[in-house]
Amino acid sequence: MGARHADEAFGEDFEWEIRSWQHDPVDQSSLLESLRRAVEASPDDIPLRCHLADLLLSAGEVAEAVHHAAAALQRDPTSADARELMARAIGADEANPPPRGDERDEDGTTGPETDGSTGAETAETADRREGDESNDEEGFDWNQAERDVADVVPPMFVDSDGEVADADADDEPAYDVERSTVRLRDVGGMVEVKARLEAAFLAPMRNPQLRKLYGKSLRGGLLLYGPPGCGKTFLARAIAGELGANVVSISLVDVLDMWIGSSERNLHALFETARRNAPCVVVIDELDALGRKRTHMRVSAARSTVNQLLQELDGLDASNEGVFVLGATNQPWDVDPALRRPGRLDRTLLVLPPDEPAREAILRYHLRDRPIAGIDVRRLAKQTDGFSGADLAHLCESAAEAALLDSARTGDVRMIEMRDFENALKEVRPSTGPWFDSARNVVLFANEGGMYDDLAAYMKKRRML
Amino acid sequence: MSTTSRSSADGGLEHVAVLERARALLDVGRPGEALRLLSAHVASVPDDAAALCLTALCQLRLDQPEAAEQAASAAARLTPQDEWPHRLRSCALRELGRIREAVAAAREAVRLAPDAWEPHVELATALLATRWQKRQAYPVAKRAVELAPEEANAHVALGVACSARGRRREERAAYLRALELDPGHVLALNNLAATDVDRGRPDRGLGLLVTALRGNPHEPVLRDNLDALAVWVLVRVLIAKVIGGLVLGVLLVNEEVGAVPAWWPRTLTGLVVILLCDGGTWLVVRRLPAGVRRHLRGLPRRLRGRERVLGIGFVVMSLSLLGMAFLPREAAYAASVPVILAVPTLPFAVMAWLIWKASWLLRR
Repeated sequence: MGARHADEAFGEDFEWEIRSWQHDPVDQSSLLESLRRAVEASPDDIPLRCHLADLLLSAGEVAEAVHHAAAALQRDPTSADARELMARAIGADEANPPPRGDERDEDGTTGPETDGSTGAETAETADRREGDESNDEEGFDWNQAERDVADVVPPMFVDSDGEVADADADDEPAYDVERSTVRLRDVGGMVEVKARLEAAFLAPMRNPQLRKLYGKSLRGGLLLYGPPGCGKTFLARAIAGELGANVVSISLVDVLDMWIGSSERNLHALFETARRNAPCVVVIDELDALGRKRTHMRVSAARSTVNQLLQELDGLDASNEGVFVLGATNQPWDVDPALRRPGRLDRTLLVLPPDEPAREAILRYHLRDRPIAGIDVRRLAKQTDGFSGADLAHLCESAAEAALLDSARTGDVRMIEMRDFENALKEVRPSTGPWFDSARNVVLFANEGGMYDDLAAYMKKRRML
Repeated sequence: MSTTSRSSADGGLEHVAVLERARALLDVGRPGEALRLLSAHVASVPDDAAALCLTALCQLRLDQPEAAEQAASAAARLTPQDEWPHRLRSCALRELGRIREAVAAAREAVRLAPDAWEPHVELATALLATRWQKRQAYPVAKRAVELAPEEANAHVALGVACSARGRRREERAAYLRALELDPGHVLALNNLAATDVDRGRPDRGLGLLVTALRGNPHEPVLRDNLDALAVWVLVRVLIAKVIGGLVLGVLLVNEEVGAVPAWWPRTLTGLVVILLCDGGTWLVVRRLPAGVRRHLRGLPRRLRGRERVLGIGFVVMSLSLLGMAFLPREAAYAASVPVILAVPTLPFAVMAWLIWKASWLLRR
């Protein structure tokens, strides 16, 4: 499973059911079903849960087994049975990936249905699916098949001499194209942001009839901005997941090249990859670096990169139909204004520090695998107003560290308790303060055209202006 | 042999790549990332003068002048015939307040590259930071403009040097030329605003400051100057109020006791004074963008020392004027106390201003 950033963890709900990946024989399924109901009726019965997880593991329902083992461990982190089951489940999970589930709708526009899995598990299942796909590919020898039908079907690509060209070499994407399995429902809280996204961006994009009726093209861009560590990148991936599109992610380091002209070529190659894989979402992280105001630049090479980005967004050389660009930045005021013109990144969305329900979800997520006792998450969520997702992760880390040090000092292993959080809260402060200080100046002096009206309203509400 | 040459070629390529990447990162406003990249490189190749210079530049951008001075000095030791390390060193020393050393380093940079404009601008800036050598900056800045007539920074340096010599017209022309070349140049906008205020055109100065802030909202100099301009206006309105109070006092003393219509000249005059002073200020403020108005609303909190006393004096004088204009005769006498106290200070204030202006002209 790929490493996940702390802020990506944000808002996963733990109470969702797990979707099963495999149908079992009828007799075992009825037993499992009755056990499931029993567990639902008494969720704190650890032995019962362990038993169910054991049976599920035997039946090959690894994901659900992991869920129950995790739930058991959450309730009793010292349970040896649960730990053993978890170890087995994870081992089994890696060794025997479950069969692939069909995750696309008929029109292929919607992403995987993630009801019934937590965000973390969503990522796991996604990895499994990817593994599965590669297994499928391994199982069928495409090269052999191509050779078999070579005399019937002409080759796809030929070079200037009429020889069969190495299609793989040309088709090999310069950048990794992924499919985002994260959905908006995996993002905790942020109700307003989601509603705005749905109304202004996602609904028209997802509805081909309406789009056709109103002549809306399948292209566009959205600029996400807000304080650092508040989940902009995660949200961008969730939007890509909602659109059921491929994702190509880039940041400055992916494009930057020492040779003059190479950065532009890299950028062009990236957009070509996106166009080939349309519908595709290009996620540009730290857009303020890649699309910095040209007036602030002295080296012409960097200016050319911005020019190239503008050209790619306009799709001068090729059609951008089906290519969406999502930019994420902490400093939208440093982004070249040309990038925000109509047809480019013409819509903006403010991603603020998580609200109370989101903070609660984030705290729960970061505490899910830790030995905790008597943690009042709701109270913590209330006390952490203004904290970003990353700050909350740091808070949990600090509390865990305090408990660990205490355990090491006394030699008596203990749980993470509320007092650890209270102490940690004295040290960990919201890191969003400096950002709002900068943003304040922008709102006061540079809010031309009302681009920062949302931010101004938020800051006014919180008496930051 | 071939392996050695290839590895040295690879090393050279890698070296170029690191420097180019660092330059690009600096250019896109990532001095921290550039510094991390360069630190790793300098650790493995400690005698790379170009990398050390870039390191110093990053540190200057990150407001670490001490570290920048060390890096620039190390680079200057490695390549004593290159002007860049000396120029960077001068810049760092200036930031550290070691002006005499900064001037020496800048002079060395000019000596090494007499035909480059950047060392001249640095030398002019360093000279302007001294107490007694400000006038020497003018020919140096002039030379910088001759060398790079299309460079806005050279014109701005010339403008500041002209200001030190009291060449007002030339100063203004230099800033205007800089703005022609770079319409968003913060220092040019700021300094031009200052010249407008000096010329008694605060409205134009205010407009320029607002424009500059729109392009560079994070620039503290601009915000400070906006506050300074507000205080400048405040002082003038305060003086007008004291004079208005004086007129009201005369009317109050000459008011006939018991005569029913005797109060109206005082009230009418008070109304006119208040309308002129406060109404005029309100009209100016109303025209400002909402954000600037909001910023100015916080001015009382930001005032310190003498300015705070002025602010309090302004409020007291406003209340006193209201009282003198609209209260009955006896109460109006009581309300006139601040005016009575302030009037004797007026000649002193005028004299102090004349002395300050004369010394300013002499210094130039």
